[in-house]
Amino acid sequence: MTILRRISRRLRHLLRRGQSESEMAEEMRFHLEQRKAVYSADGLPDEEAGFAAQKRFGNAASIHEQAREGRGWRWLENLWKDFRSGGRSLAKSPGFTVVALITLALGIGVNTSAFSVLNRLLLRSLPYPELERLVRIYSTTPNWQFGSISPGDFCDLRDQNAVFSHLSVYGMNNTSSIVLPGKIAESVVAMAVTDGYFPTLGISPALGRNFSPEDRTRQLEVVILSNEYWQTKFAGDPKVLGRALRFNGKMATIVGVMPPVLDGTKMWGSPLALWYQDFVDVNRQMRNNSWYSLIARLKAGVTLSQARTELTTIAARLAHDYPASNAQRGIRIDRLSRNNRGEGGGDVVWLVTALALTVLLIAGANLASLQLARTTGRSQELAVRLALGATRGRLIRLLLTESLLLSLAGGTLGLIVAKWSNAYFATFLDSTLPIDFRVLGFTFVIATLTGVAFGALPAWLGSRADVNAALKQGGQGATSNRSRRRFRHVLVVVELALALTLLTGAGYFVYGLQRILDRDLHWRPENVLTGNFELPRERYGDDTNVRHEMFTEKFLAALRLLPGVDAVAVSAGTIAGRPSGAMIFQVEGQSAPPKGQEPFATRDFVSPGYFDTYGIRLLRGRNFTEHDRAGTPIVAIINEAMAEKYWPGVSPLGKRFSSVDPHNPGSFEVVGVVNNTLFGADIYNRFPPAHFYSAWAQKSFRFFWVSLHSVTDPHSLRDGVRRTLAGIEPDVAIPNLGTVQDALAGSLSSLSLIRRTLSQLAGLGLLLAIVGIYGVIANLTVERTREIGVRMALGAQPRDMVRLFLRNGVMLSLSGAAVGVILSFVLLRILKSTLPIVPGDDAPWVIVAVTTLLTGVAVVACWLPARRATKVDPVLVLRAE
Amino acid sequence: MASKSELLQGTLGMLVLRVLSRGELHGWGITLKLEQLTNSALQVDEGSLYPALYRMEDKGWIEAEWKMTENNRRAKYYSLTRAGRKQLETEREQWDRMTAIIAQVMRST
Repeated sequence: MTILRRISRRLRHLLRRGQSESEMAEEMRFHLEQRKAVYSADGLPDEEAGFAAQKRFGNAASIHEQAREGRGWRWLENLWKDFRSGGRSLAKSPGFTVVALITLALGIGVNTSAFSVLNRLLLRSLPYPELERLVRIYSTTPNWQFGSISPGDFCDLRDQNAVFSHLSVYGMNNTSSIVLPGKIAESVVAMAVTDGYFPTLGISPALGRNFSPEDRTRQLEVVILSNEYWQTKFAGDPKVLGRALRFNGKMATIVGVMPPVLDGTKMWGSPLALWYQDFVDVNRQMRNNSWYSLIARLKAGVTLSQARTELTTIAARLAHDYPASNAQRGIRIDRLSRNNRGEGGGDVVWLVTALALTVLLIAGANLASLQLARTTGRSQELAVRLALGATRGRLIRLLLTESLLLSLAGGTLGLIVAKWSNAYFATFLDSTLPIDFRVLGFTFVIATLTGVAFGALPAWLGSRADVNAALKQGGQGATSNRSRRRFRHVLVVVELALALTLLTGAGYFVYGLQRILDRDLHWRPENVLTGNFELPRERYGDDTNVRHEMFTEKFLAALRLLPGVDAVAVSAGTIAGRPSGAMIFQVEGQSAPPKGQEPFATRDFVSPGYFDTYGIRLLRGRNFTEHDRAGTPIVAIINEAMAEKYWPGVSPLGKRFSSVDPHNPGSFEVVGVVNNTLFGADIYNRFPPAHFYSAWAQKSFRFFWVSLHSVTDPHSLRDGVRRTLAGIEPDVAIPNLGTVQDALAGSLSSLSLIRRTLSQLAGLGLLLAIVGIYGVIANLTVERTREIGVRMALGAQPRDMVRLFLRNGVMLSLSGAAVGVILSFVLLRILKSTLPIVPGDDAPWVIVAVTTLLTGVAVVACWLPARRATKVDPVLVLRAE
Repeated sequence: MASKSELLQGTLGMLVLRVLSRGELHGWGITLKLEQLTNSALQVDEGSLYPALYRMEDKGWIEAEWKMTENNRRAKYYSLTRAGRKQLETEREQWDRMTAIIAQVMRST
């Protein structure tokens, strides 16, 4: 309380400084008058009495000063004064101010933006209570730390652990369909969870109830709506509870609505509509197939390492009980709050941040050199201040305040820049990038740091003005003193080195990305329309049966009749994405390989039209036919890579291989070989993996990808496909029916975004570096105009002068480039070890190209001002003396 | 006139608090009172009273109010606050303890 009163008193003094001062003066004057009156009464003459009173009082000026100190916050007053005089002084040189502000706004702006992305992706805390108790659980293999969990493993984990209060699987899909009464099927984004999901998150329904273990045991079809879906489709009607809707072909009851805090989850731009139950226990026996993501809440007081120990025990038990599936498996547990590495993207965000910081460093170097040039121009003013008694500390403070003023103003403009670029990034991130308090704080801190860090040295050098020299030299300003010039040379070198490093880093990355985007997939993406959907489980069942067969035949036949269509196919996965399945197998007739080195191939299930649809060539043997169906010998078509790897030198036709999974047995006869293909989104694989195809009719699922090749624009087929499907199965909708080319672009869109971002960052860095180098050289040259004039008057040729300055510039550029090349190699080594996208030594030309470009630009930046300087008339220069 | 003594460092505040503990006074009044109580034996720049007053006001030990003097002049009157009274007690105790200790040392042989 006293503190508060004290602050308010100080503020009052600060705000009403005038009144405070005059009251102080009045009080002391009163004192002096009284003392003088005393002396006068003692008989001293009037004048002497005044002197004596003052003598008795002491040094009035110093007492005033002490009194002000007593009031406190003196420094604040001084700061305010400095800010105002700094502002006035900046306003007097608008050219300098504008250039500095633009530089800073760009530099700070891109950093604010990079931080917004970091903030959103990596640092933002999730809205769940006691977040530190939430963990994610992965199944690990020797090769992969972030694998998904099989149904059997999940059930055992759930039933055997003693460390989690709740745990749940979760999986989002956008192939769920809803039919509201009186409407046609609509596809929605839905999340399959178990009854532990919401208790795990620690969030209760806003309306109605949670999923319950009873729902699980009785397999009740109940759904819980998201607030967003409830608001848009049911207008927030509380009577929605207990209502029925058709969900994935079954009647389901709405039992709850979640609060708005869970809104904002999206999949490919569409918001999550509802949660439904995944009856994991149905597949309890299944351990070879894993597709579940797991989230869990630690019991209160249980530490992460306790949980880890427990899970290791369970994993060991599973490995012992189910060696076929679990021998090599472990279980990994991570805190949810900092778990972004396994999902990719994290590294790239850090890379972008590092590059953004480099841009800021370049901008800062520009700021420093601009300020240095300015203090050189102002050396006379500064010398006068020194001569009039300002201390060096005072001068430094003045110059630093100006620098701070600039950087804070630049930071404010940077926020505007960031707002633009955030809007641009947000469109790719499926979320908004708000400039919240954390981002604002970051911008403020970085602006302050920039102002201080890059203002300090120029201020220190500026304050070393030589009073005598500066005042004697008249209006010309002092010749730039040597240390200042040297400092500016260093700045040029640093800027060049940084820009070179930035450009090389970005260059390699962009080249690596481009190589992925441009690579030959060995199949034809043009003119193919594709989309996925799923058939309702209880009417169609999960696996191959007569209903699947009938549906597929009917559907494909109807699609073939659409105008322009010349090939149609269904498949279990999409070649534009990632492999949808894989199998560990044994080549029949060969000895069993050692454990852990069993043959492995990715796998898809396709109908006979698949190879025609995608332009995949049959090299040997035959295609699938309608005779390959349930009950006939099981056949496979393999790719060249698989043929060469497992049947080297012999024809694989007629050879057999079989699954080693006891739950998924099967023996396959190879009937054909097709060319190698790459999956569109499987970007890290540069060499085609072993891959084989099974006949869809011999083993089908209720999950479909449909593909149509047409001779006309495939977009025009969309309505036809939708109508065809609705005619056969009204409960099902296709959410994303689009061209394969769009799907490819979509699965690579994040790469394109990164490529574009890096290119732009590098471009910005280059631009700032050029401006900086040009500025420094131009300034150094201008400062030596008089010297040029003298030399030319003495007979030097313009050519000689240009050469003199050019030599200077070239030397600087080469030094900068040399440092930059060294830094680039270091950076490259780091990048290569963390990011597989970055190409290795196979692209040495990138660094050569960047070095050439940058050095060339630097030389031009030196040449232009040098040439201009030689155009001056020596007579004019000398007369100006 | 007896020879004057320098004021001990840091004791001016205590003396001012003591003087003000008998009632409010303006700066000049405090000076006169100090003079009277010490028989003018203290050597101190009169002006240095004011920074001390402002510091104590800032700390909340005294508060000030503009009033009219008997001669109808505007003057700033200072008075002790409750915190100031407490401060005076503290300083008095410290002073007593300190003088006792010093006296003990000086008297020892």
